[in-house]
Amino acid sequence: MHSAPQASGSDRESATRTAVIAGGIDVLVTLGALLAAHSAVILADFCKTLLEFMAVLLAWLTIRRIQQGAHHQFDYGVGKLENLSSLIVSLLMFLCLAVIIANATYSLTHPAHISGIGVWISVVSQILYAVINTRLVLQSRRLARERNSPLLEAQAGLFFSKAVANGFILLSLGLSTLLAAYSWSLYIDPCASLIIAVSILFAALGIFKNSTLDLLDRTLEEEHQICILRALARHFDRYEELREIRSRRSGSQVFVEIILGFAPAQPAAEIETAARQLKLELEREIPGSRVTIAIA
Amino acid sequence: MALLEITCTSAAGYLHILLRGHITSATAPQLEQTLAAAIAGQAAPQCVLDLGDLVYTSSAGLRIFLTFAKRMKNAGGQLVFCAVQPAVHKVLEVSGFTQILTLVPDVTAARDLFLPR
Repeated sequence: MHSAPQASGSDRESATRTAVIAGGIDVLVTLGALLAAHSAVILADFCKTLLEFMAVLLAWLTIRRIQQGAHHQFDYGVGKLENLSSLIVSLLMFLCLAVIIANATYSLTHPAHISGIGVWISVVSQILYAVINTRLVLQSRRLARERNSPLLEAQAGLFFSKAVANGFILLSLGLSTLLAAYSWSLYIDPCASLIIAVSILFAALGIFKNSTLDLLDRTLEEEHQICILRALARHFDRYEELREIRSRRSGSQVFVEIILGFAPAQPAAEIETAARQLKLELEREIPGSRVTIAIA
Repeated sequence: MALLEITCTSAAGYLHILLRGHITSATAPQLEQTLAAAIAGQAAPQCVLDLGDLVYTSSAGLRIFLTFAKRMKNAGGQLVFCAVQPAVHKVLEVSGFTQILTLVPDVTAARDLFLPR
């Protein structure tokens, strides 16, 4: 017995596609600001924006792949695909970190005021994107809760950090401009870019750690193991023998296979009902699970 | 490393299995083999699983208890758990095992449940 995947993938893909479009526009705007300004913060913002765009782009491509795979036999591999995407993003993050740190070091040793029309392009875009990102945080969090997807959960966190970053960059550009009369204000811009670099570092480390752990299939959490045993205890008198329980987690999916033995005299309809009820109960209790009851 | 010590003794028509230590995924296979060997070839075995010195059990232990309880039932035997410590009792309770297993306070109470041979 095996249930067909019924997650509302179209909602999930739609939310991610919206994020890809928003991210693509953001990249173009930030690139425009970068080319028309002299500011370490705007460079850091561009790197961060590019990373975020890559993250949602890979997520969207992964979800599309999963959607296609749902009609075939890729079920055990899609979790790995999600985690592989996260791993690529975290590696790109480390690359961008190096660029930001090198530029900030140069700006600290050769201080100069931020300048250019790009600063004002950046200010306007930060305000606009702070609003958009806040909306995307709420949307992704809702979907992550409904679908029990670590990918969407990671995305919600990404949009939240983007909204916070928008506010931070706005503050940095504002202070650098308003306090231009003070010589020490020259250091606001490179220091702020280093703070953005630190935030990228923490995000990269978090994603890297989770992705590498998840790429190795994990044993099901103890809480869910107990859940399986509780269900088997509830149905104790409906089967004759417990042959085996196999379970594992792959990305957001949980696979459970239970092999039960039944008495030869037990009617087939009764066996079928018992197995179906056990399967439905477990799939309800363990989010994101696919339960197979094999009859020995 | 947490260890599990298993002592099996045969007395007055029943099997007394004393567990001491921790049942984890590392020690569970040892328990599974011992229990299977203990009742192998026996008709209607009577068995007391003494958990007086069992400090901890993970789901691996619960799985073995469930499998063993089924085997005992199919063999027409009787299985009684005794002297279950509070921490382990809580795990059995949470997993719904207290509803399907026979739990008594001590070995004497377990012995009293068995049919005379």
